[in-house]
Amino acid sequence: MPPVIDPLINSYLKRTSQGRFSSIKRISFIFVVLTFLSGAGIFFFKVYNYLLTFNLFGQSLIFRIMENLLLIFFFMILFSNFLTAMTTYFRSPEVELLFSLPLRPERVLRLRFLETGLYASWASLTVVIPMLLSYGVVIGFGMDEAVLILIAVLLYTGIGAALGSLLLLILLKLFPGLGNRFSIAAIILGGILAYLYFWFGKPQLFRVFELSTELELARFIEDLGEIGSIYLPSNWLAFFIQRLFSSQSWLIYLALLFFTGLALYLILIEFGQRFYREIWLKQREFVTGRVKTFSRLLGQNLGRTMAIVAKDIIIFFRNPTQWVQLLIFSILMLIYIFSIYRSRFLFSSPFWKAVIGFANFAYVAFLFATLGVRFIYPSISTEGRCFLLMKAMPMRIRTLLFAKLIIYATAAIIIGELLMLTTSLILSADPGILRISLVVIGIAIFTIVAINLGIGCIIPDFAETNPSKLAAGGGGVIAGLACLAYTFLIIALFARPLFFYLRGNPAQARPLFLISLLIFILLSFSISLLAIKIGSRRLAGTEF
Amino acid sequence: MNKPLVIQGLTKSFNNKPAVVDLSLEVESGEIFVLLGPNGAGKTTTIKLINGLLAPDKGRILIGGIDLLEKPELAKARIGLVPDIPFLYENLTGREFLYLIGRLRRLEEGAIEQGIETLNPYLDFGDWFDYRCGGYSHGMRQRIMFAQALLHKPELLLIDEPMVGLDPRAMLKIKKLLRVLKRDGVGIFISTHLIPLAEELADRLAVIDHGRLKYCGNRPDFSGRIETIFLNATGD
Repeated sequence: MPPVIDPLINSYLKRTSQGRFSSIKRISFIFVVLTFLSGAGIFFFKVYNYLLTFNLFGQSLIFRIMENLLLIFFFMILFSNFLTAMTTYFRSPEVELLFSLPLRPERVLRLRFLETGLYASWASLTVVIPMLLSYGVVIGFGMDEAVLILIAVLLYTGIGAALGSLLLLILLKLFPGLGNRFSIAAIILGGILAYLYFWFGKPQLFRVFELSTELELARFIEDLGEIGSIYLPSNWLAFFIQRLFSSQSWLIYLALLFFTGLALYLILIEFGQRFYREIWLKQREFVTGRVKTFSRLLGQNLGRTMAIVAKDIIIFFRNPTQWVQLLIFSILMLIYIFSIYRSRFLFSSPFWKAVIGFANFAYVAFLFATLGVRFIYPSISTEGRCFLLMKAMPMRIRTLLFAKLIIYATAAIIIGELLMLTTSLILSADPGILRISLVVIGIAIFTIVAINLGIGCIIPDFAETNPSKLAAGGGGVIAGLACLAYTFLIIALFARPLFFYLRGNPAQARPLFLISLLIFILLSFSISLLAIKIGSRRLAGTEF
Repeated sequence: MNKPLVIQGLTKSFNNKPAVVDLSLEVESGEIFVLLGPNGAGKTTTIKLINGLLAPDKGRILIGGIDLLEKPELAKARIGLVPDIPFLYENLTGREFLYLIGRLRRLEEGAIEQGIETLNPYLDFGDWFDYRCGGYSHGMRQRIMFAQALLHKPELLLIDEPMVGLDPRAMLKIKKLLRVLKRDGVGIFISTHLIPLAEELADRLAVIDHGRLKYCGNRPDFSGRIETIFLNATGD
C-alpha cells in the first residue's frame, strides 16, 4: 500500500498541515518557498545561458556542474536523513504514543520515514528542482519532460532518504550503545573515504587548477569521466537528464532510480517490521545515565545572562542532532578552505584577487545566512515549555534574548572571522582590504544572528523540540529568506564600487565604497536593533 | 506586615470568552489557601495571572505589597511556582536545573547547595538527581519542580495541582513539607480539583466556577462539608 493512502499517515499529514500552521503562516510559507524556487530557477537559468555561449565546453561543463551538485545534494539528503532519523525514529515523544497503540512497527516506521524524509530533504529539493527545470527551460522542453524530471527527482530523494534511515537502523541494531560517538566516527570516516575515493579514483579532479587554456579545459571536462560513480543515484539522475534532452534512451536510468528506490524502501520496511521496535526499546535504555559533559559549568559563579549561556552550551553539546550537524558544516568549511588553498596561484593578479576576495566575502555571508536558520532561529523555540519557567523568573525576558545573542553572535563571529582571515591570507589579500573585510563580515554576521533571533521570538513554536524541524518550518523559511535578502542587499551594495575598481577606475570606486560602507553600517545596525526590539517585545507578550 | 497575596477585581478573557471574572481574594502569611474548582473553571489561569505569565484585562495583584504589574521582577522574586505540568530541560540533570534556577534568582552556590540539602529530606533526591531529566518519571519531575520553587525561600508559593504523578510516600512528604512551610510563615496558594486534598490542607477555601468566585470561607465554616459546598457552588 503506498504510504500516502495509509490512514495513519493521512491523519498525520492533516495534523501537520492544519495544526500549528495558521492560514497566514501557510500562505507566507508558500510565498517564500515559491520566491526561493523562482530565485534559484532564475539564477540557474542565467548561469546555463552564460555557459552555453562557450561552444567548446559550455554544454559539457553544465553537465559536470549538474553531476557535481547532484552528488553533493545526494549526500546531503542522505546525511540529513541519517541525523534527523535519530530524533524522529527514537527520541520523539510521538513514537512512544504510536508504539503504545495496537499498530505494527512497520506502520510506525512508515510514518516516521515520511516525516524524516519531508523534513530532512525539502531544503535540498528547493535547489535541485529549479536547477534541473531551468536546464530544461534553457534547452526547451515540454510538460512531459518536466513531469519526468520531477518523478526522477522524487525517486533520487527517496533513495537518499531510505538509505539514510536504513543505515541508521542497521548501525543501531549492530551497535546500540555507541550512540553519539558512533555518529561522529561514521561521519568522519565517510569524509575520509570520500576524500580517498577522489584522491586515488579521480586524481584528475585535483589537477583542474593547472589548466590554462579553454581547449585544455574542454579536453579535461571530456576526459574526466563521471564525477561520482556509475553506482550512485546522483549519476543516474544526471545521465537521465542528459539523455532526456539529447533524445537518447533514458529509460534505463529512470528504471534504475525506480527499482533501487523501491528495493531500498521494501528493505527498510522489512527491516523495520523485524527490528524497529527492538532497536527503539534498546535505545530507551541509553537515554538515562550519569552525565559528565560540562557538568560543573552551572556550578560556577554566574550571573543570569551567563547562566542561560552555560545552560545553552550544555544542552547543545548533549544533543547529538545539534553538534553532529555542526560537525558536517565544519567539514564543508574545511573543504572550502582547502579548495581556496589549491587554487590560490590562479588568482595572483590584482583583478582576480579583488574578484575572489569579494566572492569569498559573499560566500561567508551566505554560509552564515544558511547556518543561522539551522542553529540560531530554533534556539528560542527549543526552550519549549520551560519558557514558562523562564517567564516566571524575576528577570526581564529580554535577558533570555541577550543570552542567546551573546552565545550565537560570539560563536558565529569567531568562526566567520577565522574563515575570512584564513581564506584571505591564503589568497594574499591586500592588508587594507583584509581589515575592512573582517569588520564588514563581523557586522554582517551579527545582523544575521539578530534577524534569526528576532524572527525566532516573533514566530516561536514552543511545542516543537526538534531544531531541524523548526528550521524547516514556516518560521525557519521566513528567517532564511530574510537573511538571504539581507545578504543579497549587502552584496549588491558593495558590488558597485568593486565594479568601478575592476574597470580601472579606483578614483570613482573609493568614495562609492565609503558611501556603501556607511549605508551598510546604518542598515545593519537598524535591522539588528529592530529585530531585537520587536523580538523582545513579542517574547515579553507571549502568553502560555 | 504585607500579605503575601492580594488580588483585587482580577479579570481575564480569551477571545472575548471570560476565563476569570472580577476575582478578589487574599492569602495571609502561614496560611494554606486552596482554590477548588472543576476542570476549566479558571484555576490555572488564576495562577498564571498571579505569576505574571498572563496579563490581566483588569484588576490588581499585590505580592507582599508590591504591585505585580508595576514591578514584575520585584514581585516575582517573592513567588515560587509549581506549574501543573513539570517541564524540565531534558538534557540537564536535576541538580543542574536547580543551579540554573538558582542563578536566575541570583542565589550563590552556597545558598543553592543549602537549599538542596534542606529540601532533600522531603523531596528524596536520589542517584537520579545527577542523571538527565529526560529519563525522569513524572514524580521525579514534580519533586524537582517543588525544589526549584522553594530554593529562594519565597513568601508566596503557588502550586497548580500539587499531587499529580506523586506516589503515596512522596505525597505524604510533600504534605509534611507544606506544613513546615506554613509554620515558617509562607503563604501557600494551591489550585486543585481534589476535594480530599482541600479537606486535609486548606486553612481557607475558595470555590471557582466559570471564572467566578462562588464561595470563600475559613476552616470552621467548610470543614467536613466541602463536597456539599463544591456541588452547590458549581451548580450540580
